[in-house]
Amino acid sequence: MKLEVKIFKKLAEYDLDVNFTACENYLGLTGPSGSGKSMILKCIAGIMKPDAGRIVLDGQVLFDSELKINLPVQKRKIGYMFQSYALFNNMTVYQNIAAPLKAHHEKKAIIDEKVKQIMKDFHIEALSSRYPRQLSGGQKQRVALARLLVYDTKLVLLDEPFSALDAELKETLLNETKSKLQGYHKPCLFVSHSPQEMEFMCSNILKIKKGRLEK
Amino acid sequence: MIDLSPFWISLKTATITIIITFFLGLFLARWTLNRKYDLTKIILDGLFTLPLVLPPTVMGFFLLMIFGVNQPVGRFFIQVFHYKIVFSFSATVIAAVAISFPLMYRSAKGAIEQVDQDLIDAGKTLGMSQRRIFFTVILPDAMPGIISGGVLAFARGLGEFGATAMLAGNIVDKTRTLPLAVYSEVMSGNMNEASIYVFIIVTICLLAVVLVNIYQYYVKKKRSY
Repeated sequence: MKLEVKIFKKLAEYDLDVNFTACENYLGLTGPSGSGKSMILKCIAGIMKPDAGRIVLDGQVLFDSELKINLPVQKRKIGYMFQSYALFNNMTVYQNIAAPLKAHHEKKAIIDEKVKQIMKDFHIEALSSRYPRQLSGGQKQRVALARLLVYDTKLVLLDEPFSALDAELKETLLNETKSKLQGYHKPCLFVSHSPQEMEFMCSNILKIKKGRLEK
Repeated sequence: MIDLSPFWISLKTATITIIITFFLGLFLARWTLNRKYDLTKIILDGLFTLPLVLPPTVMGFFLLMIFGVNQPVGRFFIQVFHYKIVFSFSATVIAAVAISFPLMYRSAKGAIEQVDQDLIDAGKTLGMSQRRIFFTVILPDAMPGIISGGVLAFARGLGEFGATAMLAGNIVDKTRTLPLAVYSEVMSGNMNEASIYVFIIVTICLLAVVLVNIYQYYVKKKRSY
């Protein structure tokens, strides 16, 4: 992966102003709460729009304020795992995982095959017809990850997905997440304020404070 | 023997009204929320809330300005369809929709706004179009709020008096709804007849509100499981 990020955005308390280029497949972004980490992820995903800057992923320009390019979120194919996992409450585990495939107008038989395959891979077949409210924190995390990996995501953004879990479960899921990302050959940008999680997941770690990178 | 026609006219009016109001209110809520500029949203919101706070007679005045025999829409209907809207049954529906849709609109808007932004953003990153997100994520999540708005609007439509009297009049067996029947009977000193109509209205409205509360209770229980 080659990710080029240059973002300027005025925020309420400070200005977000970062500029970095990364080639590592497992890049970490750390810093205290409210330092602008999530905002950077949201700008890369396209959920938020920077005031100025340029974002390029593997040669594809996602955003460029000078060239007036702003690729819609739907076309960026960047998976985003929220801290809350953001599973759709009214859909079963199966339907949640099928949602991105349906959105990309895949054929029904292909959707079924892909969803079943990934559920098997994640050992969540038994949860297929359950609703998110009937899942534990760890199970939700697995489903959310499966939902990101089931279609052709180019990059996975992880926004503190382990912070709400207890220590023991966290370790298991960290291991699992890393091996799954490697297994599916997906690069990731990982945001966390925990140094241990960072060390384990990432080969390069960027520190951020009050909207700026710390050298 | 008491004349039951106001009951049937009211039931017919309220049923047709709630179908129109439900979709109109929902559509306007989504349309307003999708506007790009905050100022546009604020102005539209004010406009769509106005019928809720204005005296119904003022709404009736505006409706007469639109649907009256010598007004643009009213004349159009007479010339093209040979149909006079004022003092017809359809006027009771128009008046009830005009008065009741703000309740639907506001409840739907509130319910849609309360849907977790993360869910909407997640839908986008997964490649779902705005329309798909609205129908498969936002709408099911907001449904309890939307339904209670619908029931409130139904009850309000059933009780509509002022605008109905101005646009549809008070014609027995044609446009005399329950609230108008109550008024007419009291004016003629028939308190016994009036009390029967009052009893019917109170029963229907109370039933509607209680049913919504029961529904909300079950949703809450189901969601917290």
